[in-house]
Amino acid sequence: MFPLLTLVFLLAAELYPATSGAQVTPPLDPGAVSEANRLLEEELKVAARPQVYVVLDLSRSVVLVKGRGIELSQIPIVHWRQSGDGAVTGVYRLRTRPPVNRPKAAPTDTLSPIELDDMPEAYELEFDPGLVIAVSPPAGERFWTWALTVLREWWMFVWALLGLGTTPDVVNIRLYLTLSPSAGQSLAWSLTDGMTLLIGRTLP
Amino acid sequence: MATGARLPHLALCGLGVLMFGMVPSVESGSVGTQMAKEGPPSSLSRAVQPLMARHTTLKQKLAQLGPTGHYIVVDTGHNRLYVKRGKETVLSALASTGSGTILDKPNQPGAQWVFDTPRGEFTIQSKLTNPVWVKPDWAFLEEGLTVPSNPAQRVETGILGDYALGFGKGYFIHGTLYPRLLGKNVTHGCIRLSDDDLRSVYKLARIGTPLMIF
Repeated sequence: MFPLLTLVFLLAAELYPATSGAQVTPPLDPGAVSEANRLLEEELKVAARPQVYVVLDLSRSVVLVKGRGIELSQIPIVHWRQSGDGAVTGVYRLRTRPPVNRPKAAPTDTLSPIELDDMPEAYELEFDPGLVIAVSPPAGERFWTWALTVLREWWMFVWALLGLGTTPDVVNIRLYLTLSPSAGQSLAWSLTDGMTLLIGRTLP
Repeated sequence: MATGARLPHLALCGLGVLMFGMVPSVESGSVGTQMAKEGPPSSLSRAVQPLMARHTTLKQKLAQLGPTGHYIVVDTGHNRLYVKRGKETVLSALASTGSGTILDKPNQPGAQWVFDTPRGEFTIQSKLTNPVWVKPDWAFLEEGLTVPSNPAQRVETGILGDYALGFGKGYFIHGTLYPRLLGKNVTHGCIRLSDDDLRSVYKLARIGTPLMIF
């Protein structure tokens, strides 16, 4: 009964999001600019090294894949929500990218390669320190995938309440990103083990 | 419109809090609402000015980290290669990148070749004309052949096209005998281009040209 009700509540939240659009442009105020400056200061350190990294800007509802400060790719977020204590802004490191089933070749075999379509649409990403990002498609596009994600979330919540969950590492914040199926696959594809993630505000 | 749409959401989330305590503390849209609560516009603009000056300085510093001349971007998911200069795209080309498949190494339990195009930031390290392919072990094993002991038997000409641009660890941007496979993930990690696009990239790129692969 409870899982079903949870499903109904969250489905309503998905179908009637808190804002009419995907993103909100905040007015230019000191708090917003300070936060953007903090992100830039962190990004300067990250971009100084030869690497591709990810910037998650929740105020603009967008994921940016970047290198040397240059935007390489932009992935729109349909909807997001955060649970847990504290501010999510900061620098994180991805433990491992979403798993993918790699075909194993035998001599003279002709194999199907791994393509973007083979990447998962729903997955969880663990970051250090203490961040989990759960990606799932919108209920309107992949209802059952979305429903399974929500039920899993509910199950984990109940499990944790009962003190039965196994939490090897401290997770302070969980971020739930709703991405279109293709955007979810693009993000999964773009990630690499140990990749740096910056979360904060960028100014247009 | 937006207010009407919020009502069922808020009501249902409220119920969710009572029943499950799992409704988020922050979500899409709440960021802008929080910002709007701060002081009156005139004091805001005065306070914002030094912060914006700092913002402009930081953005300039970040921009200085970017390449000054041409650079190459490869999107392995969509099999596209771009040559860019600043924000301008000078060339957009269909490419083939790594298949992501694996092959066991013989007589080495647990060791494998993984045919991915490497991700990250690289530089063009070599520019070759009329390159020859020195076939690695896996090329023979894939064909069910014995790996030759004579290095001369590894050399094949006419496979890689007219040019090759090396970006380290044996990976190259080169041509292809199979243009119909451009746009697909079929290579062993190298980046294949059509003859015309390869010629253009060869002309635009220099030794040291940055290459970003994602």
